[in-house]
Amino acid sequence: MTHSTGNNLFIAAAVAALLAGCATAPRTSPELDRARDAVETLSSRPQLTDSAQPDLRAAQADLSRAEAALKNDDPMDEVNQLAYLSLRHAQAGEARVDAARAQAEVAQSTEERQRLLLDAQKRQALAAQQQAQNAQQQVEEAKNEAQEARTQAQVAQAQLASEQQQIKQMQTEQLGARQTDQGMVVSLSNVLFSTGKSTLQPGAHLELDRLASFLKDHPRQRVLIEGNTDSTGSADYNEKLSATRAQAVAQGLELRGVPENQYQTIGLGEAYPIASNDTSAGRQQNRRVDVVFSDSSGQFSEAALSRQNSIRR
Amino acid sequence: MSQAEKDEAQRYAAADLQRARDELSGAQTAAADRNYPSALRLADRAAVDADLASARASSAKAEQSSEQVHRSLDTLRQQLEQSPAPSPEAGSGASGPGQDQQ
Repeated sequence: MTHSTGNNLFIAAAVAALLAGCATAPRTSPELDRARDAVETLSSRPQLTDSAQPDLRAAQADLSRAEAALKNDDPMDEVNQLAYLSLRHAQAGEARVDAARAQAEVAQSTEERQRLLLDAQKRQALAAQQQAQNAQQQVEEAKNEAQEARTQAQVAQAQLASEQQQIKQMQTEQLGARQTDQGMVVSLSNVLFSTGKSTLQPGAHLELDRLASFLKDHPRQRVLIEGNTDSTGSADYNEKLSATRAQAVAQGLELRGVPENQYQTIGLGEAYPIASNDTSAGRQQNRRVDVVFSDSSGQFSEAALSRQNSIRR
Repeated sequence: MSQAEKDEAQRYAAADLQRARDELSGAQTAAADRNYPSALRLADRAAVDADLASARASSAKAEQSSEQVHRSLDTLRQQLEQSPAPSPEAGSGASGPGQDQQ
């Protein structure tokens, strides 16, 4: 019986305890809830860095101990103390993750900055190189153009010289011209004038025909018709007479249809004898008309022009 | 605590550092009163709060320098955009290979 009574008492006590347990709400702790949340947040961070791992482990360890203390009905102070430590460890872990992220951003931005600077330098260098190349190219082009122009000028000069040579040959062969320091000169030796006269002798016509025909064939050619006399009579008279003789030849060209701009006349008087005035034969040679040719472009030689100027003064 | 002070927690995590200090002085008081369990608890709290202050100070400093570098990067980008653009051929030639490498 006693045994049975004891059993009954035990059961009653157990039931009472069970009832009491049911009546008392399960122990909770806001501190523990916060620690749980903080640990869960930290452990689920996708970029959990190495620097935060010790914090997470400490926070989890303290949280487990807090949970165990709660389960064991340890004093709430002990549960809350462990929960507090866990929460702070988790928060420190968060801060270390943030710090690591910010440091990574610093490194990335620094690298980006260097890349931008390097790119800019490369671009500048390339632009400068391009400019230098363009300048070099322009120099080359200018050189080539100059070379081309020189070649053209040389060709033109050669053509001119060849043309000049041809004309001189014609002047020599057809008109009996000779090379003098004044240029090519034809002395119309057959155009003989009597002393004091400016009338053309009949023998002159054939020579004038050839000269006129040559000038009409070469419209750019010009001639200077220089009248000369022997020393008979005054210098003043001779100058006028020589001018009249030159004009007689010019008239002959005009009659043969040579354009006016191709010839001009001058009286040199007795200043340029080609033979002695002491003999009759020499004087006859000095009574003459010289026809001085320009070059093929119509320019007279310096010597021809200076002779002309000496008389004009 | 000295680590926290080294990390300039006073400037960047003042509240956390103050809490750690209060807990430390509380622990010292409790120890003087021979209330050792309480002294031990407060000392443990002071330690984690000092560590938190240290971590938050480091984080704030890193954040600050990140902002600075970012600002200077923006400034640089603006300067490069404003500077006279090189010729198109030169531009594509320079940035093309550079981007491929990235």
